[in-house]
Amino acid sequence: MAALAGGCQEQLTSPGQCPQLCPGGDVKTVNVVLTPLLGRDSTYTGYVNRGDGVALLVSNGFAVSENRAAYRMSPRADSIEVRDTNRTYTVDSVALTLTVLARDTLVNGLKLVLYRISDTVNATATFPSLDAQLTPEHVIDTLVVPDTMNTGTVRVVLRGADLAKVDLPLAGNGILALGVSMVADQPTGVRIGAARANNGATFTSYVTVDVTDTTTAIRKQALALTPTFNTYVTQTPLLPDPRFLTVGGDSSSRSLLRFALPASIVDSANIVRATLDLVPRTAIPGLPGDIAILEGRAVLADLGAKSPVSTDVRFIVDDTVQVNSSDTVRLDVTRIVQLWQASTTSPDAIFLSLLPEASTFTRAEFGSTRSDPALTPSATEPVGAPQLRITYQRPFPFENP
Amino acid sequence: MRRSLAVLILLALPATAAAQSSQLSARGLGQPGRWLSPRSTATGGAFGMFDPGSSLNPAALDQTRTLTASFMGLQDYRNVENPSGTASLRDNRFPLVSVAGPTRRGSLVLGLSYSNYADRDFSFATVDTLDPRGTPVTVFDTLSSRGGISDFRIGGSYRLSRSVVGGSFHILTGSNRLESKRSFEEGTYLPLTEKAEVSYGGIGVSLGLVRDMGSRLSVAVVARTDGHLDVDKDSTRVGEIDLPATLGLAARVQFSSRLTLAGSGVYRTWSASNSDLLATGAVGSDNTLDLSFGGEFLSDIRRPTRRPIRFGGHYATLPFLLEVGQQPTEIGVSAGTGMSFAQDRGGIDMALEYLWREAGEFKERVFQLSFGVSVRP
Repeated sequence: MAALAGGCQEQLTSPGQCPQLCPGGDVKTVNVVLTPLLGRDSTYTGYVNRGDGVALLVSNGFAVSENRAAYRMSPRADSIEVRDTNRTYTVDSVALTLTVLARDTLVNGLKLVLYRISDTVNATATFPSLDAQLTPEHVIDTLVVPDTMNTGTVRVVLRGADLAKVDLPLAGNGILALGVSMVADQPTGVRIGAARANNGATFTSYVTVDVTDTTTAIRKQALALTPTFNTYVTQTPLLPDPRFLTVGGDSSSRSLLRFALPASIVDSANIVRATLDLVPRTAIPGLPGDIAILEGRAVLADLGAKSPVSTDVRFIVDDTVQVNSSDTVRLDVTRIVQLWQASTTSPDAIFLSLLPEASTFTRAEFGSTRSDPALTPSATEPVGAPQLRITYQRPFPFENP
Repeated sequence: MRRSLAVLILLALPATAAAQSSQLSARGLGQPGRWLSPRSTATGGAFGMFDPGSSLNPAALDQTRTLTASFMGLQDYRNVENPSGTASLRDNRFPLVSVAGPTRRGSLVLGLSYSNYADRDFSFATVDTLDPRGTPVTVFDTLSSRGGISDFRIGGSYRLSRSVVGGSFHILTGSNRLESKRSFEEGTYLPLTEKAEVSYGGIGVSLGLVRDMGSRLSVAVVARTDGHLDVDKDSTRVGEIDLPATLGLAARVQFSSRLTLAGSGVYRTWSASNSDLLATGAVGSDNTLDLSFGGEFLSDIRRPTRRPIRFGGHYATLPFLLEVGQQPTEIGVSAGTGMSFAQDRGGIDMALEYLWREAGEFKERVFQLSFGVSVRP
């Protein structure tokens, strides 16, 4: 009885030995490599405008790109209501802050220079039009970024005569616009906060209200303003080269890759891994130490540039892009390829983008079917096409009986 | 009413009919059952053709004096050895449930039983290294099967002077739930599980005879044919498998009032399945012979069911091959006893068996405990 009770838990697994103890045979694992349909891998641009992203770019002598940034703050009212009466005020001091999101931590002596620029700055600003305003006579102040600070907020407070640099006359519209450039010990760039991410520049006025017989808390007030508009400009905007696949950059490029999954895989394969291999045209430019994410999304319908993409997290894949590396970039797209196999409506396509869009120095160019000499013999600058490597298993041939 | 209730309770017990599992049951239909009660198991199987509790010979039902329901449990502990390694395994089964009883006229006895025809429980784990992308990747595979084929028997016996004849109808049914799992050491590959269910259906008939050749000698003969087995995979008919004919002979001699000895041989033409199994990718099958010898020593002549000493041994060949030309074999020695209580209204029987199974480099050592309960309401 004791033996029966003690043995109630079964233990049935023993070492296997094929082929004798493998009824049906082995699990067959197969690897196939697919390239996109010839000429059907495309790049589209303009999804996110400069300034509509989560960061602004500023640089000085940076080989990747030369950038300046601009903020237009919300209007500052010329009076404050106290006891149902609008009262004038006197500005005692002003604080300006900027948020540093990313920098090259190996470059010291970073300083952000604030300029007062025209309060009409808008999305049509160009590098020449903005840079022309960033002159010494328009400097408000220089914000020193400590070498020990990788990310964080830098602040300057203006008092006394310096208040004239940010003076907003009563007769004006009350709008302060700021231009931002930078200097450092070496050519480099920096990413700073933007209104989209609620971490743009701030403009805080500490004022004394013209009112008597009341408390200090009412007489001494702070008017905090945030940007209603921000943007950055690029000295030499790069347009995507149609021979290659581009993702990222200030043009916010995305690439659509279309494949044709073989019927043998669609019908009966069990996909265990699928990776998309992308060969960079050159070392991927970007800000050293800054992170950019290559994201792939399943396409719900192939409508070219306007193809709707999946918002289901199961069919969104991403990986970090290494800046200044020319190694093949590999993206695990197993779930997306499984979707192609399972769905009769989803096209065998994947949309690639680089995050944060229009907010990073990183811009990657990968080989396409038009640059692969094996697919396009006339390719002038040979770079291998994307490869979709699918590892799958054939159905296990269970032995009958 | 109380009789009927007791019978219903026994029939409602879990009847996962299966015999001992074995690595040698991986191919073909699995490990064939021996259709023996604990009492017969203790005698190596030699008393099986005379034992009403076993489902081997319908003529043996004649020994049932009153309505009897019996239930058998089995626990085994195995050491498995093959070229890939060794393992210690254990499993439990309930291989036999039976109900039998005489009719009012007494010469006719009817019985039902639910026993194991073939068992295919196994789980094999292997480790391998693949190179699907030019980089070696370690994979872990597990292939497992649960289930088997059960034999539902409806039979009867009829006494004719010194002879008893019996016949039974068998319904064969069951399934194997097969599962293949693969996982990769590298987490970038997704694990995969595949399943299939193979179900079986068939019928068979058996005839048996027990004849007393004097006061001390009895002989038994049984013949059975099972036709063929329909095989469905995931509800789709995939084929048929011819099943064997069975011929068994046994003799029992009462040497003294305390000692009875018996010997038996059962031959099954499993080669009938060979071509069908080869067509499915199996290695094939061969005819089997099961020879057994054993005895029972009564410690109390006035109460023969009180702690008798049973012993025996058997040698058998197993039908389903792991490698061509190498038929698995099984040798076993056994012992057991039993007792009744409540004025013979209840009884228990136990058997201990030690088995050696071998097919080339594939070996097993099995310690098996059988435990039976019988109720005569």
